[in-house]
Amino acid sequence: MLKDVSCQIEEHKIIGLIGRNGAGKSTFLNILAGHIKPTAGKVTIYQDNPFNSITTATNTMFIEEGMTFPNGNNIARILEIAKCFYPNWQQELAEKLLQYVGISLNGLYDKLSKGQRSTFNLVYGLSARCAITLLDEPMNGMDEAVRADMYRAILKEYIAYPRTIIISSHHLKEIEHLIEEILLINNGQVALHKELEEVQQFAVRLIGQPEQLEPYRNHALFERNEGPLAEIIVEKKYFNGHSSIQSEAVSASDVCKYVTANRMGGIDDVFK
Amino acid sequence: MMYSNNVSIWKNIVSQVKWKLGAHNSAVLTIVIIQLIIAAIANHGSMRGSGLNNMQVTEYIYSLDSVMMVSVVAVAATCIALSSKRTQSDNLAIPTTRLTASISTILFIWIITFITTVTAIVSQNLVQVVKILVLDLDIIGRTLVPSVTVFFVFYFILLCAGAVGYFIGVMFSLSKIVTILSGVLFIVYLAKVEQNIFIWLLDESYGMFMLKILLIAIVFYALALFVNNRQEVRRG
Repeated sequence: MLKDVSCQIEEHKIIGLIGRNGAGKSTFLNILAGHIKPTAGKVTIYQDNPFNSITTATNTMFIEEGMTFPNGNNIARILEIAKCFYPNWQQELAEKLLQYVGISLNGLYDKLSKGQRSTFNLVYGLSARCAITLLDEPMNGMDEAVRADMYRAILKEYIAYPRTIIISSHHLKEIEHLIEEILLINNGQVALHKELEEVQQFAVRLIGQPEQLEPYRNHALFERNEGPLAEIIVEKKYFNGHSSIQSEAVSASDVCKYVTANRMGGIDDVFK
Repeated sequence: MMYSNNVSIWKNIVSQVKWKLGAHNSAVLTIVIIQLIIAAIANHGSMRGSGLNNMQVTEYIYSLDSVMMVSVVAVAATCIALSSKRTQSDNLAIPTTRLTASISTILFIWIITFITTVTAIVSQNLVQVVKILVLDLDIIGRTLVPSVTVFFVFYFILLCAGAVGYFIGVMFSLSKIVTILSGVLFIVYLAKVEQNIFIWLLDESYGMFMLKILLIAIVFYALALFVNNRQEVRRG
């Protein structure tokens, strides 16, 4: 799934792990959590090999959709158990957040809806206050309002108690206000690992006559011809500021979309 | 938050055992209820006799055999379930590794087999007391006095059943086909050597029997631990 991945993540940052379906985001997080052993290469977390390491496990909270708790355990019991395992566990925070989102402490985890489970998992992850928090698509199934609240909860917790948080998502726009760095994975490789501001400055959209854009076509991440004008997305370093070409900034979300595109053109080209 | 290197593996294992005792208490309760039902309805051996002056004597011989057979099956089934993918996934809700999860599960099995041994013997005695009170019978012999030897024989047999069940569960989560095929081959082979195994197990004292049973249990626990530790801690 992953190949030749090389990156270094500084502590106390919120990193957005971005990639398309099947890009290898979950595999990457599973390796960091110590759940999967890499077939080659070396992974180090604070001098520890995370695979099968109880030190990594105690310092890492990995929240994902497939998370389960023993059948028949109610929420209060799950929180009580967490207290025994996570040294920084915040019972009051967990209870307050759950009360806010309307999840009863007496309810059974198995009876929660998909969105409520995701919310509970996230509350569980935040309340553990682990040095490393890995969130794999944590907002799946949540409604719009809860999603916004939970993003805010992550931010407030991070500001008050800085830790290393990696959030994977297909939707960069949703987490753009939250993250400091983007780690973009494409086809099992790191396609981009930069500060958010750098990604926002990474590419430029050029609009002009097709012949004017011809010199940039070799570097195009995306191109489209509609009517008399053509549009090309290139890395900013290739654009020399030609005055007759209209240039626009490209959002970080679009940069990720174009960098990971497998082909030129868009869905419209399928219907031509 | 600071990364802490001050993590005790044993503290984690002890916490996991406590957690498993709470999480799977319904499984233990189920075994106890089954034991009680079997102890109550099992067809205990009885003998009737009558004398000249209208004297009638009925002797009931209480045996733990039925309770033991049911307990063995129930403990083995519980231990198979303990290595299911769902249970392994549940384990990941707390800090764990394959090694700590396996060791804590094995300790948990030792505790539940101890509890179920006590409840099996108590259930047998409970049935006897009820029958004595209700049917106005007399006790002859030492049926109500728990025998230490019986207790340990029972315990080691359950321990062994738990080991085999746990090993089967671990193998099953690794490869269903290999486990089923190995199981079939083992049963076919066992049918041929069954007599020899029983002779080997039972031809000496109770002490030797317990030692042999314990050895078999240790081998299966060690195999399960070894196989489990080779796997990745992946959610199912």
